[in-house]
Amino acid sequence: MSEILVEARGDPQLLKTAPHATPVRRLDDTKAARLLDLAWTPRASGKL
Amino acid sequence: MLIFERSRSGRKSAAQAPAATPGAGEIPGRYLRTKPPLLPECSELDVVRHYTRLSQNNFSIDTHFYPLGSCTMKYNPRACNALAMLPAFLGRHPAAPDDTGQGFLACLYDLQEILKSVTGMAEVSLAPLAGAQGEFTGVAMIRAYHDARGDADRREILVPDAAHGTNPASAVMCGYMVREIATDAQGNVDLAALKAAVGPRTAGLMLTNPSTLGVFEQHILEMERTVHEAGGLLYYDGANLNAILGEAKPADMGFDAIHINLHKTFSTPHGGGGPGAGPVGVNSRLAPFLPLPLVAQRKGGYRLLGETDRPLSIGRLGAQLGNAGVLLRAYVYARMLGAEGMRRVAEFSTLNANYLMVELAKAGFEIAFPQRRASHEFIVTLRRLKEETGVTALDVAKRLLDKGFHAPTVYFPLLRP
Repeated sequence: MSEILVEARGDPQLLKTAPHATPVRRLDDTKAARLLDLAWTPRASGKL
Repeated sequence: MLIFERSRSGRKSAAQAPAATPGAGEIPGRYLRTKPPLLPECSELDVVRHYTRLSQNNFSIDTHFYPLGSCTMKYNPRACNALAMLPAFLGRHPAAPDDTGQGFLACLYDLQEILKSVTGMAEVSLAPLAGAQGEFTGVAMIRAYHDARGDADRREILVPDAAHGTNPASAVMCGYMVREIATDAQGNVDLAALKAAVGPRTAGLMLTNPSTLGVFEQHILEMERTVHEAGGLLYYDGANLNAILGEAKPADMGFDAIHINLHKTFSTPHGGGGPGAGPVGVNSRLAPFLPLPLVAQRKGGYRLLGETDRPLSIGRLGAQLGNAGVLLRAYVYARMLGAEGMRRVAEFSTLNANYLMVELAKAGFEIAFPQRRASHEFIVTLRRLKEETGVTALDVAKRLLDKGFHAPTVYFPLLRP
């Protein structure tokens, strides 16, 4: 937390675009909750 | 990528292929499918690699520190899980006769007794399947109590504005109007606002203590007197029980009912979307209304009490007796701790929270209630940092992921900036 406070004051953009080291970057939680995409359909993917 | 999108026509995986079901040939032909099921066609390695890759995308307690929660946090020993998963527990049918599950019932009876001891309450029911259902149960019993007395004008439940959202939701589900009570500058429930709100329409007060602001209510006994003198009952939300475990009992504070989140205070990981368990404890006034079944000890054996034993019960909350696996983990955890260990939980959680609060203040973070000693948690406000740099609490939370930590709960309680 101390490191992050220093980063926030020195390079706020680093925090605005975090996370940088995770397999998945910043997710749009609100969109995911409002536009549910729960089931796969073969028509949508064109496979199988 | 979904497993279906990895599918290639004709690929098979022997390891995942189910064996032919014995007796399938006896199914009448009209019930047999004519087209093959829509399943992905993948090799064994495709499947292994797909799910392994997915698991690595997760931020989990097996790989990182995960202090998520607006309430009590605790350690979940693997031993509790291992013992709850013993074959005899797993193999027991939930509808098996009491006689064939005496060991299982003995564990649950002991758990009821332990929770009675910890809360000071007269009786405990293990039936609620989650924390929010425990809240619902508490309010339902308050309503049953007033209804049984013919006191039908009590239509309001008082809820502090620092409460979890499930508190007002539970009250509404029980048919009550919710009256919100403000928080004062010290982080306590505003006593003057409470006194102005109580009256002949007050059915009860729902209180989380220590509150979601991380402080113990300094006027708890005066609050209790205020509500009881108005004819209302007091319900204690045990979300933050870690801070007082073994040190202070809600019954001694005059509360009539409490629910305990076993998944927050007594093993079982919290925050994974379940399963949970929210046993309720009550004083003798509310005991007749407890949900069923209850575990009783009779003539040297254990049996489940039902409607004929407790005709005034609010009823059943599920098909069986609670979430057995969660209850067993809690039982093992409580037995591992013992009375002395429970006090240690309270002391260490409070000590740790205050240590961290002081360290963060020294680092330059703004503490929401710096004048108060933290209980098990505390609030950091980033209002000033946002004004100075544009960096928000969400940005800090996301940056913590880069450092290997999941952020604690952010933007809660809602009354803090």
